[in-house]
Amino acid sequence: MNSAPLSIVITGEVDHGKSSVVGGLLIETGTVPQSQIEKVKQICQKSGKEFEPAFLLDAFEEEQNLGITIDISQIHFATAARNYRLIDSPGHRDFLKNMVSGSSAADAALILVDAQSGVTEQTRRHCYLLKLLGIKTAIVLINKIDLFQYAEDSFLKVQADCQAFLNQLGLAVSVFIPLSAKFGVNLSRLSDQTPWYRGPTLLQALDQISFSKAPESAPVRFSVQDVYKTTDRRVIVGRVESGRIEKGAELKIWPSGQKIKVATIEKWNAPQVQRADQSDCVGITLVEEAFVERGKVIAPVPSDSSVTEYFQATIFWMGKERARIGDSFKIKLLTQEMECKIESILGIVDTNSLKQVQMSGDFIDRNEVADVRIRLSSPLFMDVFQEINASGRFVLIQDYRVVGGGIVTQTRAASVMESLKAAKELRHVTESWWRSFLKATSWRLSGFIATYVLVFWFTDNKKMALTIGGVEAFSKILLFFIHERIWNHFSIGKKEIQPVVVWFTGLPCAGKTTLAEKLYEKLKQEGLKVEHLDGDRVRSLFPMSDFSREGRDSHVQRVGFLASKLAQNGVFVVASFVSPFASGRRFVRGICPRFIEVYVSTPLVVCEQRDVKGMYKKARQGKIDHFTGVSDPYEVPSNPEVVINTQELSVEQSVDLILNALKKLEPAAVRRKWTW
Amino acid sequence: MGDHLDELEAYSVFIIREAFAKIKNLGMLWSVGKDSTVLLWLARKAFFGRVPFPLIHVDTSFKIPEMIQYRDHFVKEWGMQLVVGQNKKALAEGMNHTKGRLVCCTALKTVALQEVIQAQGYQGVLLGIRRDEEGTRAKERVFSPRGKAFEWDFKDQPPELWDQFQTDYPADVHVRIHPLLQWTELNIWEYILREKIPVLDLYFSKNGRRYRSLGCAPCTASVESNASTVQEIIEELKSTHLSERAGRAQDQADSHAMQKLRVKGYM
Repeated sequence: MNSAPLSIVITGEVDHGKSSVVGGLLIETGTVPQSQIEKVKQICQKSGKEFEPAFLLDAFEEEQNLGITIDISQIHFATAARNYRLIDSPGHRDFLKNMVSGSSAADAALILVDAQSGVTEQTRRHCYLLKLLGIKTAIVLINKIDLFQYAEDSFLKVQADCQAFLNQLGLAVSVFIPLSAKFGVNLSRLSDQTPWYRGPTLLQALDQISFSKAPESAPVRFSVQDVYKTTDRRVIVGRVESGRIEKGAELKIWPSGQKIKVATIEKWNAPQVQRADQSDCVGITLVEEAFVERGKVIAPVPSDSSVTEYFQATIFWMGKERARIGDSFKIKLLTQEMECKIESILGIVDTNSLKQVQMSGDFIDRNEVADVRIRLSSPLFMDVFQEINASGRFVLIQDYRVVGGGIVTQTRAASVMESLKAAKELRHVTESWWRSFLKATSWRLSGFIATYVLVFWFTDNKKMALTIGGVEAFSKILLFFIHERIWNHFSIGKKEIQPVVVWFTGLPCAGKTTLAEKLYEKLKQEGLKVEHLDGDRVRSLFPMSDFSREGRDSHVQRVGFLASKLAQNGVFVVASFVSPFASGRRFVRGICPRFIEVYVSTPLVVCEQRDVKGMYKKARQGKIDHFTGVSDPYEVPSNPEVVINTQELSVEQSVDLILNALKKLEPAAVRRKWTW
Repeated sequence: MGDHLDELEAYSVFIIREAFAKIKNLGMLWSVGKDSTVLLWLARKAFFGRVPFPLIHVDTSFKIPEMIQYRDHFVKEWGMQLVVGQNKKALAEGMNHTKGRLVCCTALKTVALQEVIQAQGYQGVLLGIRRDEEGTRAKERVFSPRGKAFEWDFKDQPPELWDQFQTDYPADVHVRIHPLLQWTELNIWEYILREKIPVLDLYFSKNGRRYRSLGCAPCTASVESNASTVQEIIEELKSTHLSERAGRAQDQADSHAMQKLRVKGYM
């Protein structure tokens, strides 16, 4: 067995001696062939420079002349314990995007700090980015301690500074090591120069890093790269980004949500494959064919993740131009690609103080980190980065170039769930039993005192006053209890209003809005609180909703959510939406406890004759895509509470029919039992 | 997964499939050396045995004869489409390594490659270079754009985050795709052993010498070695301190020879 190398990125401010540490490591582990060291030494001689281990990596002439690293370099080395892939990243601010590129591929980080200059702004920025990119383990190297005659207190001072910042950031440090890369101190052997240091050498510290892969039990995420068709079959190729796929697994294709079952898992010139784990690249075939293409994600029914067109993220900006609110980009998340917009910038993160600074404008500058809200032109499948890394990170592309990288911090579903939870809590604000008891006692006590005072005043007899007061207090408590229990069984004069959501669905021009408006008026006349939500009016509030199946469904879901919230707060809702898909309507029914679906069944021919806004005509001419009834399907409700045929019934008659259904609706009230 | 070769294989297959899905007109450079033959094998893995794009061979006319025989044999056996690029004009004018190794490499390899890319209209070319070969290759991206004049803008390479490669390009840019960047020389041989990939006999020791890296006959020297099987080569590599390209004369022609060649579009 040949285990994979651990990828380590080394970061540090320019001139802190990063490439020297790397060069030193390579020489001490015997990685660099002597011939290569000789070659670099020759080059140095020719150009009259002193040999530096850094030149082994800084291969570009410009890098050696300037003495800086421009781009990342990767080099392999091995200790007795394991193999490493070391990623040397540039420290200079101008090349931050290269540092991010290098770090995004790493499992752990070496953070290099110069003992002389200590923790600088750039060090802090690097640490912040490492944390953002998901690095979990770090080793801090405090270099150039030779400049302080190897004094312990100068090391401890820098260590304390680092520790404070990294704790605040939440980046775990396994060890702090005093180093002098130039003199090979504590790289592979503990030096006599630092007798006070008893920790591991750099190489030992590396070998001590424990790194565990995500468990196989993690939720499955399979990103579809392509579909290869041969004469008799279709093989879906892609990568397992999380979890494990097994033969026979029942999953779904997202964002559409179509069910599939895995028939086979395929690799060429390899033994039979039964399962595929994280980072495996395989082909899969399905038991029953389904529509799949590049850019889909295969996953089980997501619990914490969602298909969403609106989410919150933290992004790192690498574009030459500033990013502004309203700017459009292409987003790439797994193999999904979509147009998107920055809808709002919530704040720029000050990587120095770790505080979110107040917005100074509405833009993000190069190398800045910002919290933003992003709106997609159509929903994508994604997870919150903390939950599943691979499906919670993305890049932004503008004019062919990657201009930003980001992680998903909150998806729409997450925020909806939170507000639903909050709503439930609100409804629990009632009197607790002990409060009622206290109130009852204090009321009775004041009654008793009043009786006592009155009787004493008239009779001047303390004993009698006390007895009458006591009997009165006790008997009234008992009487009240019995009286209440008896009244509980009579509903005379009791009025309980439980709001209902009345949902009109049907083809465009079927007459939904007309009926809804009439019903709205009727309910209003009854003195009820009522709201009318209409398709056309609400559309203008959600301008980004498109007319694809997903777009329409999430639109209906949003309106349904709003309706359910209104109903929860005692408002009747009359909603009139084409809502062509059963899935969207089912969602709304699910979240509204008292729900009436009214299917306005006007046939297509009649609707088309009415054509109030000339939309059917345009659709027929091909000027409008996705027009329900013409170029998009309408799924007739299978079990509506009310069906209205507008050709046979007048508006008045129709509304009466709906009011009848409202009256018949079972109260969702609590049943009372005869209890004493 | 757990075996490192499985991981390397999966990652390379991922890259090859990304390239095929996103880049319109694709070709794969096949020098017939061990690396690009492993790359070809990985392409066969990615597409279940049938490679959907042509192989490009840049023939300098100075290649060792066995290399051409080997090439033609496997093109036939594996059912590949082969496109041969050659700078005929330079050859007619008598170009060879005595005019200067860097001049010769640029004319017969870089220019020949440019011509074939232009003639065939390739938007992307898959190449089998590795980071551990030499310093400037260590700094390469997986998807590495080349401008109109084929130059490599190494000072401003696109960010590559989380395997999100730059896959969209304007029409006048072509992209070099490097699926083997992560591999080491040792990994290549271990994979050849595991997959039983047929490689050229020139790599195996004859009379105490073998080729470790293959190029043109006049500029490629063999190295001292007794390794005559793949297994023996693996053992040898685990103990050697000589660099892989030590036998390649063009690398030694100038302090920054590879940078100078590669900035202009050398592989």
